[in-house]
Amino acid sequence: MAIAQALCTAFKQELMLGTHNFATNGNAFKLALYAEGGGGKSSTTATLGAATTAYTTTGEVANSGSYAAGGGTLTKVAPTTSGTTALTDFADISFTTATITAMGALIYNDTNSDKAVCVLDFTSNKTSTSGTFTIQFPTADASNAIIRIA
Amino acid sequence: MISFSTKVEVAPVNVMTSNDGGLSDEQIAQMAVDKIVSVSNNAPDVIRDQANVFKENVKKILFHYLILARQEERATIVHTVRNSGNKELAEYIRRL
Repeated sequence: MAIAQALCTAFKQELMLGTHNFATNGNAFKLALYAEGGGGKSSTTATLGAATTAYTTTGEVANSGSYAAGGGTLTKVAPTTSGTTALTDFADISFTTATITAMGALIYNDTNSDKAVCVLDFTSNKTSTSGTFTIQFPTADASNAIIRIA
Repeated sequence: MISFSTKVEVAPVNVMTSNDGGLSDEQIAQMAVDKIVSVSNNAPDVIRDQANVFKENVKKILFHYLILARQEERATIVHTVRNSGNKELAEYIRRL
């Protein structure tokens, strides 16, 4: 599979190196959309997974509506804890008036050399045609939050 | 030797898309209810069924008030546009 859901291995190491700051006044994180196979608008195919180390333009969907190369900036929710689990969250993000077909996304640190955080696999092509393309993050709790350290 | 075992995880996301315009009231209601009510995959069937019934009820209520909110906002826009002298545009927006 060319796009596989994963928390990037490099990110786990970089957590220990203090590379990523998810505080609301910390680093800027972005979300970029990617196509897989013939379903995308881009002529290249993305290969994203645990081994991904940084944002890449290969396989990224084409500019459309409010989507521009590099994707959109995420609004962070300050990291917190629930029981023995630490978690962080982002506000949902939407690209409007956009014609997009995407199979997955990459969250990356725009402040620190575009270092990869995680790969999101939509499991099937999602398409908007002159419409809205919204990514909704899960409930921010110990069982469901987008990024958790349990 | 002392060692600790921990798991760093990333969760799946929901994707909502629309064609020729924005998301529908139903899609927004679904997004809201997905945030409000979440049921563990490991929950017993009885609890999961009950939670899902509750979720559907919450969704219906959200859906109703979303439509109401859109209608009321449109009414305010129509009022403002009509007062600015654009009666035709106001009527067009009213009929949306």
